[in-house]
Amino acid sequence: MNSFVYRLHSIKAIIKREARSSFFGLGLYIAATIACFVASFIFNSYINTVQGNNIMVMASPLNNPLFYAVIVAALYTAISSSTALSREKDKGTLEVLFYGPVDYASIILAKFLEDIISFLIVMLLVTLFFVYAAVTTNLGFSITYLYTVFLAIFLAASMSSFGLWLSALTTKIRTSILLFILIMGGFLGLQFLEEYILTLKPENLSLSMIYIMGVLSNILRIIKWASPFSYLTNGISAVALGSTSLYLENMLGSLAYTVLLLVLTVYTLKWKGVRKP
Amino acid sequence: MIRTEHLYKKYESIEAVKDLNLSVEPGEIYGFLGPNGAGKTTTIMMILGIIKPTRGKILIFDKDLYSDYFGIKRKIGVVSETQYLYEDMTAYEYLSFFCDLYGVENKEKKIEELLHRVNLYERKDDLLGHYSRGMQQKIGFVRALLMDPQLLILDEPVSGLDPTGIREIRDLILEENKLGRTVFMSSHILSEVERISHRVGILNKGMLVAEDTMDNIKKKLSSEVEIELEVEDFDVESQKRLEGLPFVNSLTKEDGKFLVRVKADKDYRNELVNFISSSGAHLKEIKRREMSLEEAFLTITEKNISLFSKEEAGE
Amino acid sequence: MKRGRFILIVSILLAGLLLSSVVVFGAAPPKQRETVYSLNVWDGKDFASPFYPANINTIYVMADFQNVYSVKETLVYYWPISREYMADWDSLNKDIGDTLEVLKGDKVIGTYKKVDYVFYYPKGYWGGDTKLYTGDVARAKKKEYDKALDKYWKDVDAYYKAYNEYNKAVDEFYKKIQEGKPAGKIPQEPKQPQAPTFYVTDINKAYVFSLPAGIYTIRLKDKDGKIVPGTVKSLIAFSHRREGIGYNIIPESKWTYPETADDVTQIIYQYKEGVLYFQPFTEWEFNELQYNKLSNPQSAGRPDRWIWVHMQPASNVKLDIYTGGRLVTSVRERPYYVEQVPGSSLGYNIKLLDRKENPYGSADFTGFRFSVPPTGDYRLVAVSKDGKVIENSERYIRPITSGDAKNIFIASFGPLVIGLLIYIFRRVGR
Repeated sequence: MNSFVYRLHSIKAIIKREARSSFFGLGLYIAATIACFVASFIFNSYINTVQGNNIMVMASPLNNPLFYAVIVAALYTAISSSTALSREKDKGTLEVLFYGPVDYASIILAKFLEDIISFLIVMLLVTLFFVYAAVTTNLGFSITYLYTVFLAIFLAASMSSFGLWLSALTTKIRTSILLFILIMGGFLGLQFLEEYILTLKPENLSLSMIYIMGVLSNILRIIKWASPFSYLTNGISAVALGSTSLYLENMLGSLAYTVLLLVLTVYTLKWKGVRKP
Repeated sequence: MIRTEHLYKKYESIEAVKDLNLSVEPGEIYGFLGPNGAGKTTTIMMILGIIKPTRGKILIFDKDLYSDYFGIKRKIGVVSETQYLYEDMTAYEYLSFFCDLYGVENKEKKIEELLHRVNLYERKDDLLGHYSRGMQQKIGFVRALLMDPQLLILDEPVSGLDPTGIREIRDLILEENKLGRTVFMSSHILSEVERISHRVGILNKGMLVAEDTMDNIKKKLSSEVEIELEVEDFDVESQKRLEGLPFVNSLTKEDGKFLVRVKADKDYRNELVNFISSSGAHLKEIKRREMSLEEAFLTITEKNISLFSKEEAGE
Repeated sequence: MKRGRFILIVSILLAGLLLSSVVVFGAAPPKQRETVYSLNVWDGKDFASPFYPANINTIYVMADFQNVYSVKETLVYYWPISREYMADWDSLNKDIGDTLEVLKGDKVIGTYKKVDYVFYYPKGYWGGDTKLYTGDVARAKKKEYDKALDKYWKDVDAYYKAYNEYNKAVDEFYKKIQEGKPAGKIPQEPKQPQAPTFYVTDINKAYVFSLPAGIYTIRLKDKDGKIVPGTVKSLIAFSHRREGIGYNIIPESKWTYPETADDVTQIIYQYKEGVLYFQPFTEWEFNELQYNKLSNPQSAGRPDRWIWVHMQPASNVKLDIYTGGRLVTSVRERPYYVEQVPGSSLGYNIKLLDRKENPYGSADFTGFRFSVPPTGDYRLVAVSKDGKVIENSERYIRPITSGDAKNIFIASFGPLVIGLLIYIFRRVGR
């Protein structure tokens, strides 16, 4: 019981420090601004549509700009988490933490939870902007906004856990960032490739090509499971479709993915060590 | 306080630490010495649980670290050779964070008290990135003392400091030891270790080759003791007779003083005083010249000597 | 040299492999004789005519509606331009089989023989409102149509004869006038006979039945009771999930660009103030995959998506519009016509068609008119003639109050401003 209390205590202390650093830094606000700026283009397109056609019929108009805002916020979370451990390892501060009552689980959980808190702060700023935009244009709020934000937390969690794992693998910030860009680019590319394959009609292909495409499609399906992007896009689809089952499925899938990645991160960090290289 | 049993660490084909059996007693200052690459830092990291041993046991406060990981860690203060600090934090914020981490009560009072002790209170709101090396080292010390640790583990605590800084740290260590804290200190500055340590352990090529008080180590290494005499009216015949004494190995003159090498089995200063006075000479000063720790250290490491008997070594 | 030759051969083989996967356009696609299902299925508004080639294993029909099933042999070919299989009915259209069986699990729950059937179009072939009749009723309807058609042709004969007489009478009339003789009454032109306004197809034979919602197996048996190969397929009878009212919305300023608002969650945004004309329809909500495959088995659809399908115009309803719980107005359906602005300037006005003032005029459309104020939030519901709000008829109407997104772009920098303030405050505070 004591260990649990001490661990919680350590986690709390580290979260407080990390959150403070985020709150007083500029990264979080820049991410929120980019998210809002991107969303502004969507709002602008709505106003232009209504102006041009005199009418626009849409369910949950805030969903579309919110999707883009969530993508930006989730990317910020992923980038931030992908350097979280490597940055401290590179500077030696991670080792110093381990002089004290900090173990692998507590440091990883603390970093993860702080990422979620940062994400929530970004979403809070984004929400304030959305309130302003919705009120000044009279687009109005709907309950699906809250559903999307709630689901987005799970999506951010999977992005964060993935980023933390990458960060545990590497020892230098530069390597972390390069690896992150490479892997994310790879996952995005695979996603596009899979979507392209789905558009191909079997009747247009020879038998051998059909076989190759089938094998590739199956490989991609497996790899997609490992990509946090797929949870992000599936979650967005779930809200767009208004499908409760898909929504819950995505939430549970993200949760399972997050837990798995966090456990993997603990073992990876143990294997790699916490000492400054 | 700390005890290792057959501690062993191997990296691929390199044996960093071999069969290490050291013990640090409560309340003592233990100097941990060894040349570069001997395995000192590896040993400290294993004690702290940052590196996992290949095999062997480590007991801290008579307990295995992992039986009470958080409880034990909360009682240990660590100062490393290089201070890795959060440069975007002020000294106060940094120490406040570690107070939170260790669960220190009345943290404001504690931080204030310790910063005053190291004369850094006026700079508490400066960013750590603006601190000099000496100041950073002091902050490291303050961090290690926040939680009133029972055990202080210091890895090269005075490395890179000027003489004033070294003195301040030395005083701090002695003060803390007087308060009952056990100090486990690894250092290259042998004179400092010699000055403040109750016992030393010497590590060479991953093996503990000596663990004892300095006097005992030196005694074990040397079969004779040098005694320096400043004598007036000491005629040649008396010198010859002195040289012929059974416990005297040799007599030389150096810079106007006589250097007598006697057997190390006991202290022969009384015998020498009696002889000189009986010879009619006038003894102005008698001084025992001991082997320094540096000389002992170099002797052990360069000649790869182990001062443990076969039984002590566990053979 | 050997390695180079090897690489060359492999490259040629690979290129050939890749090229073999390319479809050659322009050449006649090969045709294959297949046993297919050809159906006439009710899609909520009319009967669609899908066919099911051999590679489609599942038939979709709407539950609790009569559908027409035929099993035929025809020539099937793949048409790459539209990327679908087509049937060459002109070359081969052979009806086969004797008995159609429907099974639920392993149990046969329905055995059907071919019956006579017709399609009855009360307002003509393009008038919609198609009805399916079988058996005696079908024969009676066909007889009725044939009789009406006979009468029409006879009337046309009589008309031509009467018209000839009329022409002669007119010539005589004018001749007498020219001669100054009393001509009598002006001859009356005979009235053209009206063709029948309804249409009935020829009597055909097929299997006609309806099924409750569920998953079945369908198969055809020949006269000997043997299952005809290629006729065993899965049959899904699906039902709608919800009913509601959907709207076609005609904005006054752009009446040729109507919008639809089918789902309750949809909000109707109007630019500032303006007039909207609502045309409510009854609608049913179907699973997208099932509904798409109903009329085109070779189409795609998402199984987790639902779509609203307009059925019939909602009749005997009124629309009530509220704001903040208070009834703003209650509107009824009226006919409107579009009056072009005379002269060189472009534009039009939409006006109410008043039969008293304009007895010969015709309406361009009918609708429920609502003038949207420049601000506020409005809730529209359809109310039936017995005063009850029709389920799933609610829609919200909101006027967009700002035409300038500049403020929104500026506001997007708000988080950065907050961040800078915090950052600077901390620095200064130190």
